[in-house]
Amino acid sequence: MDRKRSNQIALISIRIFSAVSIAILIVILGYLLFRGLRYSNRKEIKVIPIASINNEFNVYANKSAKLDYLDWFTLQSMAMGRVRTLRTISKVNEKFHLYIDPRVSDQFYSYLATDKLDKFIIKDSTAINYKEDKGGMIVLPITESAPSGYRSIKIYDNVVVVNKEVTQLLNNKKIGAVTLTQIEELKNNKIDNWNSLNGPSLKPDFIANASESELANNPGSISIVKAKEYSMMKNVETLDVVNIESGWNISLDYLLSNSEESGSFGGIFSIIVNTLIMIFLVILISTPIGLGAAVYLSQYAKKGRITTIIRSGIDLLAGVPSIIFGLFGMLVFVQLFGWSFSLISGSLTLSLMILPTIIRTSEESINSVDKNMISASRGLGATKIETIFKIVLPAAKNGIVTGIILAVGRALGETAALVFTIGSSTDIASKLTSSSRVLAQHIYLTIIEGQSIDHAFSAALVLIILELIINTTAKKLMNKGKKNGK
Amino acid sequence: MRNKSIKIRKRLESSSRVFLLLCGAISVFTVILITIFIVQQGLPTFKTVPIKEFLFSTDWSPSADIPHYGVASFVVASIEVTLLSMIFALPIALSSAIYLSEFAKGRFAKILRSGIELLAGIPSIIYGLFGIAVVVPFVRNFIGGNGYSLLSASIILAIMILPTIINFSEVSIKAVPDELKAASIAMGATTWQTIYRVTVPSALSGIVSSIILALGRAIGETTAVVLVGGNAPIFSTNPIDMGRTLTMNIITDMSYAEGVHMSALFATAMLLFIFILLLNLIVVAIMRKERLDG
Repeated sequence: MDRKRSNQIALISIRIFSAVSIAILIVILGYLLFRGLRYSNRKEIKVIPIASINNEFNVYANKSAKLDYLDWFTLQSMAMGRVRTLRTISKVNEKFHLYIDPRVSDQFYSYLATDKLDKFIIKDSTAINYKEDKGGMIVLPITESAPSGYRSIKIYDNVVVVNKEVTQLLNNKKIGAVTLTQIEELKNNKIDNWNSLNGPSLKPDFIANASESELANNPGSISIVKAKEYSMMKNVETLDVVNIESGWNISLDYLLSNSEESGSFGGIFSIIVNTLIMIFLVILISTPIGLGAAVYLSQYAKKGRITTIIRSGIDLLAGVPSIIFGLFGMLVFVQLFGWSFSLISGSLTLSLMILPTIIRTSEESINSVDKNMISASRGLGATKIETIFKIVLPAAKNGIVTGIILAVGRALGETAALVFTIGSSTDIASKLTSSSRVLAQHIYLTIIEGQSIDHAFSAALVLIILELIINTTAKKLMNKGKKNGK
Repeated sequence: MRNKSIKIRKRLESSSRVFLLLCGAISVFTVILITIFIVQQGLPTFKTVPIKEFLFSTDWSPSADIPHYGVASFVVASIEVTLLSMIFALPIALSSAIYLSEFAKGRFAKILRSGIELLAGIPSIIYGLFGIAVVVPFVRNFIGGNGYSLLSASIILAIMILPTIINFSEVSIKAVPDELKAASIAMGATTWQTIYRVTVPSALSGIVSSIILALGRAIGETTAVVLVGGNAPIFSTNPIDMGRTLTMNIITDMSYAEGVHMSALFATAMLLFIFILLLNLIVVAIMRKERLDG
């Protein structure tokens, strides 16, 4: 009875542990898919992220500007000429221009509480072709509809203002950003004390449309006012509001546009092209050598010292860590041969690295070729090398291609061997000696340079999809080879 | 005329033989050249840094006024990370290997097998990215420290070495003759008793080889660990602290190192290479013993 039970327990735990490896895989792939496709960032902004209605004018931006909303404060600095590029606002590397229809310019500037700056105003809306301006934004009367290629921009201009005591630092605690639900609760007096939001021990007192003096004199008071009114208040504080921004992380545009400024802007097209060139070079270099070695080992090598040395050389090479290949490539191809950090240095390094994979799989499939076929060919008078080219290699084709594909998969995901050999330029490589960046390394550099991790995830999704395609192709070929063998 | 073509064919035959031999020899040359180049660049370190200080000092401060080049903390971190990852990986890997070789029937086995293939195909940089986004916050919130730690690095490594252990162990467990197992069952042993008294001990040398191969992979891994390990050149054996392994040291400092600092990095690579070589030699020895026993 006891033995049976322990047997059961052991077998069940074997099953559970094996299931863990599947679970790990699902978690990794699922997470990559999730983060690669969508981004979702928590931001703390100065305004309530709810669009307010304006009866006088509408703001439109060029679709390429990738603007969705603007807060009043940003719009103000844009209108005052303090913002010259969209880099910090919408992560698009475009110069920013503002066009204002003269019919609404007074209303627009009064809304933003700034002086009129004449240089922005379009006197005749056909005179300047603002539609071509990728970083363009235009303010039009509410009667006009959206210009083609432009889309409407939501303006957030409600600010949460509180009495100064609410935001004081107490016992190393300070009230943080509030969420929309919390604002609703504050409005309906459902929150009894500021300390439940990490604030001081005061009762929140919501005053609709409060004036500055009302807020300044009532400890614990809170109100929501227009940003323009707030900009004239001095004795109040604001509360930041949590805004969750989300959207597609990967798009056709991202896949098809070139990378700019080390990948901070633009897409990854040039990087994908470089990756493909590198893979092509690696196959070109390593296949003849690897295949040659496999043919030698399977058809020519006799038992003896040379064969043992070659075999242990291949085993050792397979065990060398990629970082050491990287150092070797740097010393030999980059420095000794003077090819600097370049496509060819990186490709040669990777070619050496994947040799063992190609040799082993090719040798295995060459060995499984029917010996009678070889004998028949030799018996008919063909030389050994003729037999190899006409009989052995065609018969072992599937296995060899599978080996090459698996090796390419390894080269595609390699980073450490490339960091010191291939360079980092995001342009499409024009010659063998030009510095270039490939996908896996792009992910590494993006993280190391501290760029947004969303960029890394979208590139990672592309890389993992390529790897999956390679793996399934290899597997299909392998199965086909097995079937043909039978 | 006919004679001539035979001559050409013979010449082609002998020259192709030489060419193929050369192809085979390239791997050997590469290993030799790698060794020569790394040693040639690494050895000058010991002109200025005593070898004892290099190996046993935990002070790595190459940019200080009086620079110190001690890699002991990196050696300890490398070993610690590798062993920890093995502890995490072993139960899962061995169970999967036993399952695949002993009970592998039906849909679950198929899924498990392709899952492990996929796991092996995921690039290390992606494991690193996953580590930053998932493992680091997990360690920070549930275990402690700031998350970037040797522990996080070990967890990521454990996942990475799963396929290596599973694939190699499965082969050697499968190679255990069925008669042995049948005899054990016939004697009244349960399935589990047969597995851990008969099957696993018979396949032990293969399992150990797979473990050592995986250790080699873990100790040589760079990009995944550098992203999650914290990369601080300090000495600490607490796994939730930030740490730096040998490979992390090479990849981090190489971009700006000069002079002695540079050769100290190559000496670090030498050390790593020696570790890998030792592990490989152990595998070769086990295999040879296996062959003699068999």
